[in-house]
Amino acid sequence: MPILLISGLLLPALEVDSGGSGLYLLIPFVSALAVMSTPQSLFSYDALGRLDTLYTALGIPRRQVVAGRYATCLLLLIALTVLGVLLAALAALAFGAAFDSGVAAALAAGSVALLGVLLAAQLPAFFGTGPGPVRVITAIPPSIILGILVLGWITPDVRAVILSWLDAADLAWLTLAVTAILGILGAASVALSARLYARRDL
Amino acid sequence: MNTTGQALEAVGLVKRRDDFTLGPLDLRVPRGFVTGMVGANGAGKTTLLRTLLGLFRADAGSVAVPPMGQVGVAFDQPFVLPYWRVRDAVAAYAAFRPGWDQDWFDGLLSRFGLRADARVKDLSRGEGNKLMIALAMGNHPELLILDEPTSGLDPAARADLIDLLREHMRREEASLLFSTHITSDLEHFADYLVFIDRGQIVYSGALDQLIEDFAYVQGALEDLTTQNTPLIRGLRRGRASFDGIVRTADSAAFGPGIRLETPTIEQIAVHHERPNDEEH
Repeated sequence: MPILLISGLLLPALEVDSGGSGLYLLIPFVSALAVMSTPQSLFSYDALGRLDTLYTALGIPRRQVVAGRYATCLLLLIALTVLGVLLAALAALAFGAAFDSGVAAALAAGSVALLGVLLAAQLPAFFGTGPGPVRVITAIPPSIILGILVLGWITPDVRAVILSWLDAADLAWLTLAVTAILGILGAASVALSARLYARRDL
Repeated sequence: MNTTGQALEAVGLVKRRDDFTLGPLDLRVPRGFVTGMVGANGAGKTTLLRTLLGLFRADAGSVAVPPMGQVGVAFDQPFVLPYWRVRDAVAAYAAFRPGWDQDWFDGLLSRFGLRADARVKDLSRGEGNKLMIALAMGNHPELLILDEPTSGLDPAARADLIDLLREHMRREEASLLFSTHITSDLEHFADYLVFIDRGQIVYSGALDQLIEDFAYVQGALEDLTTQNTPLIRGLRRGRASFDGIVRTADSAAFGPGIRLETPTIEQIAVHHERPNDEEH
């Protein structure tokens, strides 16, 4: 479902864009799978296999389950973002389009920051209630954000502004800002999730 | 390690779930013995076990259990991913359970007729139960907590499981809390019995004492009097006869024509839980 949604949003942008810059969109779109699919899958597996009971039976404290789940989501976010960068670079090579690694890196950092914030917002909901309706609700905000991104990208003036901003971005500062944002929000989110998960009947 | 005589102890435990309330109740599982827990479906057995294990958050009270690494747990449904193979589940348990005994576990798999490469989703209900019991026993836990372990097993497999549990109980300090609605599993096996009804423990103590405390009563309808009828629990009247259970201490209220017998656990459970037929 998320893949279909992403493809549906991404393909028009790639087709409209004739200069090859649309390939950069692969970065946030592949990265977005970490928000639109990863928690949903992991928590659904928990429900399917009654893994919350397994964690308890294995003596894994709930706080560690929370920490492990955040680490998994963060690693998958980073891995998918790197995959998005690689796919964009390969696509540029295949189509003979220009590929600016600075723009790609800035876009990757921005994607990790934005999607990391979304993950920090949605994971407590999963820990508090389980997969249920949260699965659907949490897929809506990233879909809207990606839709806005595509709309912006297919508008030449907006795309030019975004590209120039990405080109001029100070990568070191951006990385620092991303790390700080994710660190603070992540810590608060982990604390909230641990509290909600501790109160939940499994 | 718990140094008291209890393998598990709960005091003032309360758990509310929707319109069902468990407790307040106290529970002690003596170390080195088999404690059976009986009660009708919905009486609160599973809620109690899940609250004891911390899977449900107690609304009040305290629970003292050994570290989870020393507690083996099996519920009546597997709690591993359905597409896992048996060996995947074993790998998870072996990684986290201290003192995992692979040779012992392999022996259990062989005894239960389970293949390491079988997928969990392809196991029958009984095989799934056997797998979870084997996993729970794989590190010789100090306390074994089994919820309806014999459900889904045929009589021969049930007897074999009870034999296995007897073997397990030969180990020093091994304790077992065994919930079931198949009360015959507990006859000649359990040392203590916890009888739970509508979220309350109505009896907790030695099984022998319970059987001494109650008698199964049968007789002709004309032997029922206004004095002895209120003493009978779960009174059932037929065309000419009746049956029920009574406290042994009340036996004197019944005349010589009435048969009083040593009850089975099932007779106590069934008649205790059912209202007298006039109360319908």
